[in-house]
Amino acid sequence: MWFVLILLLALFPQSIWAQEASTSATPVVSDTPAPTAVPTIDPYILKIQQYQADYDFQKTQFNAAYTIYVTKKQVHTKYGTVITQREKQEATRAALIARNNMLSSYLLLLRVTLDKFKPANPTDTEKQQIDLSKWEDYLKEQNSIVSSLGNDQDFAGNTNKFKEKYIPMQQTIYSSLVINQINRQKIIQDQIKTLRDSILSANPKPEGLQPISEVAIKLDLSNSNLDNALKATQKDQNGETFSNFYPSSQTYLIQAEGYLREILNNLKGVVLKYL
Amino acid sequence: MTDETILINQDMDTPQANPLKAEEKIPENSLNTPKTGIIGKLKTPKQKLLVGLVLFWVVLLVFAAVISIVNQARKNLTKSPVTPEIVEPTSAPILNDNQIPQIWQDKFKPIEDSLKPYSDILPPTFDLKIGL
Repeated sequence: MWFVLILLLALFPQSIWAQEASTSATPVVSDTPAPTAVPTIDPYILKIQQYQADYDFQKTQFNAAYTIYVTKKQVHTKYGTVITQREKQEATRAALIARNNMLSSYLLLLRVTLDKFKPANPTDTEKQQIDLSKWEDYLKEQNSIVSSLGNDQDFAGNTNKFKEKYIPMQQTIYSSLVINQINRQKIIQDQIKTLRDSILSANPKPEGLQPISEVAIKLDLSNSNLDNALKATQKDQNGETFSNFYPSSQTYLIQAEGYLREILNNLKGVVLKYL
Repeated sequence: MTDETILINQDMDTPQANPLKAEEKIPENSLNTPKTGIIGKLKTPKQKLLVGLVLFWVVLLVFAAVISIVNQARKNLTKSPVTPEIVEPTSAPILNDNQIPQIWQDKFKPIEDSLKPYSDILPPTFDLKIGL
């Protein structure tokens, strides 16, 4: 028996002392519950999260409806019966409604997103939000039209009309994205100006004045890039397909942001060397 | 071969003439182990059994100790995290934020946060020919 005991102790010491260890590891629970800190979440972020969740849901709904539509279309192409045609029309209707809902939830999300940097340019941002809102209404209206479509010709006609409307809709969408980015950078510019003034009021050495004076030049360069980004959004859309200006606007926006980073680095240098 | 050599060789067959002498008779008591050391000194079987048991326990304890040490070492090995080698930067950054006084760091921080990458929520892509 002693032999077995010693052997056990040697081979599995942790299992023998486990009880002691687990007792010591048990956290001491105090009688009074610890005060739970309620994190304060920005209502704007909450709103965005809510709309983002709705948009994600609508996207999933559309993907499912579109898959059914593709299947029913293939079945009708193969068999061409009245039943398969009716099923295809039903699937088309469901897919179109799901598409409109998805787009509508996207537009709503974008419209609310614009609020974040709206103080930089309230007038133009408001105008953009109104345009987005109009497209939301258009899509809601479309849903009731699609529900009443009865034959393949009606569906085809509706699709062609939507294709035409989707060009200015995309223009509104991408312009909103660019304006939002411009607003964001304008707010950063204001923050930089405030910081520059603080540094100036701290009386830096005369050598530090040169990089500070360059801030204005770089801000001008940044602004001219922002203007170009905005100009790119006003591109005429004459063709049958949307001519996307977003990539060229993005190039200008990146350049503008580069100047802001440069300014920030220079100001850091002034603080380090001349204050 | 001469007659004389033949005679000599014949003589070898007799035990007397064999150059390899027969071994002397070993006394019977010489086969016993010499009575040296602890075991050798023990007389009764009871004493021998006791010593045997003690030796057995000693071996067992040594064995147990070795296993325990091995177990402990293995446990320590699994517990200790493998720390990656810290690669020394080849060159110091031009602007070290830590060198900036805290009061100024607090002023730079919000701008740096604002300049963090901001990604647009792009519109969904879908088939524009649904219904055609």
